[in-house]
Amino acid sequence: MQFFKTITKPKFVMTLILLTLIAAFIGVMIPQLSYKSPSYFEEWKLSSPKTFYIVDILQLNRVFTSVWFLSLVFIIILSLGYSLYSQVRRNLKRKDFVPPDWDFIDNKTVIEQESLIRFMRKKQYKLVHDKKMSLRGAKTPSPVIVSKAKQSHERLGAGFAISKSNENQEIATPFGLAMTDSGRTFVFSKNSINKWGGVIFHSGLFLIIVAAIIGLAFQKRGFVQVMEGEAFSGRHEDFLVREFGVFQKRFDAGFKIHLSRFQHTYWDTGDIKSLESSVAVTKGDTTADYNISVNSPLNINGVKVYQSSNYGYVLPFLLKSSTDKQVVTHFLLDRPDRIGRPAIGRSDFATTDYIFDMKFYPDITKPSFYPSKPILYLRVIERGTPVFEGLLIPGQAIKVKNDILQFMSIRSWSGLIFAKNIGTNIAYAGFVIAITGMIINYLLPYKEIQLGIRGDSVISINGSTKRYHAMFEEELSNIKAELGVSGDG
Amino acid sequence: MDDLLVLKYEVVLHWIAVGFYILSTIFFAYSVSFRKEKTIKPAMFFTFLGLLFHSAALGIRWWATGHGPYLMKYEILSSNAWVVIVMFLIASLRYTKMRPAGVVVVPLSFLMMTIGLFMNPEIKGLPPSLKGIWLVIHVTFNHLSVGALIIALGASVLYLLKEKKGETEFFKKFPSINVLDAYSYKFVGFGFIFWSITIVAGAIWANQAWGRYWGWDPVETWSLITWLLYGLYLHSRLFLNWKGRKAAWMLVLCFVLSIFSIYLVPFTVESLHSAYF
Repeated sequence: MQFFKTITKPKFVMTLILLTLIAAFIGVMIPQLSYKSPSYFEEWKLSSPKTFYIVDILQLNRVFTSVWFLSLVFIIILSLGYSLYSQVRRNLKRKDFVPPDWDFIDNKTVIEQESLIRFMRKKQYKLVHDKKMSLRGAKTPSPVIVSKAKQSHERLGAGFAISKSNENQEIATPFGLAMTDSGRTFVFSKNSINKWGGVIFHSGLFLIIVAAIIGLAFQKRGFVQVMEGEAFSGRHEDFLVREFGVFQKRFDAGFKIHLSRFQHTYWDTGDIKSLESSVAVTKGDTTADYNISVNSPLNINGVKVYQSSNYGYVLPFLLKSSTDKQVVTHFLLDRPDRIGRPAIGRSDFATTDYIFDMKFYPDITKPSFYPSKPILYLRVIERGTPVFEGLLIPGQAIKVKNDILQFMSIRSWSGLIFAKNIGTNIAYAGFVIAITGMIINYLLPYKEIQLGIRGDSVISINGSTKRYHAMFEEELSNIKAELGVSGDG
Repeated sequence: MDDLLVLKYEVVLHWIAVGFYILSTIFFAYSVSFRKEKTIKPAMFFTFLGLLFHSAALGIRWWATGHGPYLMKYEILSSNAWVVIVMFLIASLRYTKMRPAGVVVVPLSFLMMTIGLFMNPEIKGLPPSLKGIWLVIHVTFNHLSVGALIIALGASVLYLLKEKKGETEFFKKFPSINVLDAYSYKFVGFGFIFWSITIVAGAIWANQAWGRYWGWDPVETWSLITWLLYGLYLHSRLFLNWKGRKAAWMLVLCFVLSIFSIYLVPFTVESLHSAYF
């Protein structure tokens, strides 16, 4: 129990925030494995092995998956969890109102009690307490407890706060003034939901962190390049790139996806306007057609399929050897980064010693990404010696040494991302809850006004709030002025 | 009308707006430095005039590009400055005593605009990942957050000035230092909520576009750093009862650090966000 009390102490909580801040700062200052290429770290290792060793051993190049950061997150979770428990317990036990922060002394303003309630209601304050002679002392000075007998003869004092009356009708008046039992205290409050603001906000935060941990443990992601007219099996082995949570080892999508068509359109400036894959999804015996575009993923039984911004051209070649053996190879080239530039690729031709060095222009007549008048500049290299160099158009066949090579046609390939993360919905719920909590916390501060009434006179006004005291003080002064209550303020 | 002509009009209007904002800043600075209350009104008037030209410039650009001003540094900085000025004028209507905060708010805004004006003003088509309501929410709340934080900064600077100079005739016309402190607290509260919505909308948008809501991309991490900084500020006020001068200086520090995540990192560091700036 002592441990939990320690980890929820304000200073400890602030230290946790500070440590998270420092961790995040390290994460942006030191290049991270998550967004830098492996070659970057190889170079770093070669150029400064000692620095790299220290960074690597302290896991500073993978801060957000490091043991020390995850330990910090674990402590945050514990702290948040226990803090939530304490806040809920405290709120359930809490009295309806808190002692006042300041007082006003009145010179007897005559007002009807009903109209006072209406007046306060207009100010969006609702009556939460209307008690006769049930008083409790304020913070300072120490309450003076007066007996019931004394009360009936002494005048109402200023600056009191009330609480549940008890059997003995004990009354506390903070300024040493006793009060008559004909007095009445109205307690009005505004934004009483505010006391739950912290609980709601921290619950949201708790859910977000839980979702992040679930993601870290169980998420599955895979990337695949699918050619038009071809299908992806959905099997773990057929993904080009895979990423897993700590407790995941395989990713089988559970359905097959066939790319019927891939459409890419552009603005006049050459910037991408839209990307859309038309697919047929086969699950069991049923097949259905869908379109996947950027920002509109497909959801099949919790596995989401996203349109990646990686795509390009497929250049298929047929190689007929002198022995009539035929080999078909597809080269997948990335789309050039700028309009007018060629798509570039260099790769082996399967089953041969040929290396293909390619520069593909989608349109020979104008800068374009649409393969309307495509042309390929091809160099074929065999064991370091060029054996062909020239331009090719789709359908054209050439002789390479004793083989016939045919540039068959142009197709597109589309990058699809498969992802399954059961934590996403929890994170979304956390987002909504956390923001709701913040709004309650900072935009709806709890305010309480206590009006002491004697007969038809308002004899005191006290107020308290959790935030923006000076602004509330102004509000209270206005109410005081409207009620015609004068005093020291 | 061709794009070049549109750009010409728009850039001219932007510069006219900058001119009015500079005039406004001079009046604000004169008012605060020499404690002349009567120059606050012309300062507000020039701010408003600047806003009219600024709005016209942004309206023309919106019409020409077919999308809101949230792509590339030029549009982002200009629209950000616009939101800050609008928020300041609205806050000034509600809290008239806050007007001298213009001495901080207006120059920061036109500085943003001017930096934007020196960037490439080319019109760029909206990439597919930027189509969707979450981007609009993300950018709108980012601007609102910056606006709220700049106004909070303004209130804190006024607090520090008033505290230093004491209750002179001029500073008596400002809100009391306690009220300035409360304004600052309240606007940080707004800014914190808006910044949180910015992060959340960005996360939802990222999840729709890339299949993950958080990837520790440098821009994402910097936005978390900013959020934690202001979280620390708010906790200091609540737990450590920091207020007044301490809180004001802490806010100044938080703001300086958050400039990294708002302006420097997205525009300079290689990240997923780079493509859109």
